[in-house]
Amino acid sequence: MLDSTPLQDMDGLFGRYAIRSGVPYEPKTAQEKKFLETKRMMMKKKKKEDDGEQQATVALVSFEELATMPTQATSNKKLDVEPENIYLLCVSHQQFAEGIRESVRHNMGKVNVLPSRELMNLIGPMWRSFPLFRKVRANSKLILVLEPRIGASAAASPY
Amino acid sequence: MCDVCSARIQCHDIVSGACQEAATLLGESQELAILCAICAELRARQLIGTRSLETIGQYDGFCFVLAGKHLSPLTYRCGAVPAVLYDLAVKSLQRQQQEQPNQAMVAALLSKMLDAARHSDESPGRLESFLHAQFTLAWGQRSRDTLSSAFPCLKTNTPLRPMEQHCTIDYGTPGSALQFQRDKLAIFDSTQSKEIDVAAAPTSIHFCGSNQPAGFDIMMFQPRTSDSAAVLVVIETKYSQPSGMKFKIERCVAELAPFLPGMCGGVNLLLLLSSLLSPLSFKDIDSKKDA
Repeated sequence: MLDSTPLQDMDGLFGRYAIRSGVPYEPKTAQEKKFLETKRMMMKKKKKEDDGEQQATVALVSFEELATMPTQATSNKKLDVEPENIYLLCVSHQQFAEGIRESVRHNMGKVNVLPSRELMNLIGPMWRSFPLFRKVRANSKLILVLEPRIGASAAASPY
Repeated sequence: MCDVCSARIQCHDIVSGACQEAATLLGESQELAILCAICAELRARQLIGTRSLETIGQYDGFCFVLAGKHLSPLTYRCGAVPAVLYDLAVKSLQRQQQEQPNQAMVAALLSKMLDAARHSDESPGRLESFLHAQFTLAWGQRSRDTLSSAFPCLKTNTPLRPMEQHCTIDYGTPGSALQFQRDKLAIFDSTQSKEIDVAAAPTSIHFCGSNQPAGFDIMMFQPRTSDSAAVLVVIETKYSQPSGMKFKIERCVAELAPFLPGMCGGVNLLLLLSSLLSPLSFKDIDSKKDA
């Protein structure tokens, strides 16, 4: 009978008791108090260390501040990559992307703008018919979502 | 009837009917599913698994079309009925989550792409989700196995390996999300309830949310191997202020600097900024600095 009826969580109900092996009791023996206190202190210390670490390494600063900071000790918190192998890619669906592309390529080295035509070609014709990309193809005719294209009709008009 | 219900019924009808063969093939071949989802271009004589493109193209549900303008087919572009991909993703995700994490990853990315693409609102989040899933699936696959083939505007033939890890961070920046755990740079993925060692394998991270957004939306990192150098590509998915390009670059550099070797000092930081802002190569700048 006892097995089938779960005991109330006295600790949850009253905030003073705990259940151990089905027996409610107060977890305040000297040994437990010492253990809880040690655990609390360790958690506090760890939190303090984590906070300090966070501030020291990943705190957000402005670019100007960052650029003028003195060289600091080497840290292991690094993505091991050479600066020449870092690329920034900006995807743009705006009309002006066509115009600025050459200028960006000429003036800004590794920064590129990927115009919508190239993006759509890269992603693939299949996705052009989806609602998310309808505005990219403003002049295209509306195609149903998940439109089935089966057999011969697919071969004749694949997308 | 709502969009989602309609689509699901449509999926069910299609898959249980005419596209059964495609569903079976895609279920058997993870690579085929990926190549169709990313619309990869393959040479006509290539095989997927043991089957030729010609054979696969004869099954209902696939769309293999000529990619070039040659009279004799040299290259085909792979495609599949999206409903079959969707059905595959939903079923695979349920079935494989416990058993085969890698296949579950592909299924999750397929679902993500289709879910994002099916909505018509132009919220930046949907586009980010779609592109993150697309680029993650495409990275290192056939026909996207170099940096220049995966991103045509980047003219570098650095070889890419397929992504093995991915995660989405809500309302985070690299500074708040990347942590140092047991001597490794790691990121905690709440959806998969696991810690990802960023440097262990090719990894893509999607930073989403509008609160304290990162200077970019997607970060794709491929660690070095004995054959190739490490590559880091950061992507802004919806860029709309060309006049503020310099500010954008500065912000990205500031976000990345704490995690790049030797970037704590101002000189190196400025060098990286210069390499991004000027057409000169990094080596040119380095030699000028030495001179």
